[in-house]
Amino acid sequence: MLLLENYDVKLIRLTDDKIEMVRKWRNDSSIQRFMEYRDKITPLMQEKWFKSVDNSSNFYFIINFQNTDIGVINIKNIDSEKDEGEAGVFVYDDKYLNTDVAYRAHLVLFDYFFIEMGLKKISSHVLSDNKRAIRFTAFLGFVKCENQEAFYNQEYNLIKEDYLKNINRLRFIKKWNVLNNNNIL
Amino acid sequence: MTNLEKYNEAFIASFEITEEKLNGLKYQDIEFWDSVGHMTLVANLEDAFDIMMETDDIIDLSSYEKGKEILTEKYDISF
Repeated sequence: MLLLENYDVKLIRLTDDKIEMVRKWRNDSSIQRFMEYRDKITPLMQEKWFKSVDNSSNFYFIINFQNTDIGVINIKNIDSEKDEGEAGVFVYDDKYLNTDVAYRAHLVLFDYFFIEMGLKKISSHVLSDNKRAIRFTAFLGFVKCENQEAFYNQEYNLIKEDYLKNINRLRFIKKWNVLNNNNIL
Repeated sequence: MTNLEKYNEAFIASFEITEEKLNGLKYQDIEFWDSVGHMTLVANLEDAFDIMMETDDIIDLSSYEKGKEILTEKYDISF
């Protein structure tokens, strides 16, 4: 089982025993309303979906913080020729919505896929009326693609070089290293 | 600048609000107090008071009043 861990956050690759929990989260109105697909997902649909993404092109992780599963983060549709993939996330536990935990989870994920796995670009889709997600996406360094105004679900891109030198990331890492007496940037 | 003025300024700069709206302010009350706003607030407080806030304190910082309490009890900042 793939486990990514840093910044006090664990990303545990999704396994069959957790897909029902994820299905319940995904069907909750607090999550559903920010998704393009908003119909109820049945257990059978969830099983089919999991079988279709449990492979080397799609990596879905449970976000675990302080020994609690709080959400899902993923890189999907990896194109190994172009070195590109698409990111997605939702945090179910609203205790963490106003914190930096989702940001930490993204750093763990993107550090791994940009630095260890060699991706050069990660894309993301955000609904045009999801203002919080738009702000968060920009905070990570994503830039909206051209000609997206006509779409409700709009595409953003993050280039590896831009991610690595993103001022918010560098600030976070600097603080983290100081707090943990670790001088490695 | 007093500590209270620094504290208020951190909120005002982070959330683009006026001082009279600070008392009783909670994170769900305004659009800009989302995760990005929260991280911006923490960064502004850290810069203003030359501190580094711990994870638990960042998560507990859920209101204007709670922030004062955390800074006073954990970081020896008096208001």
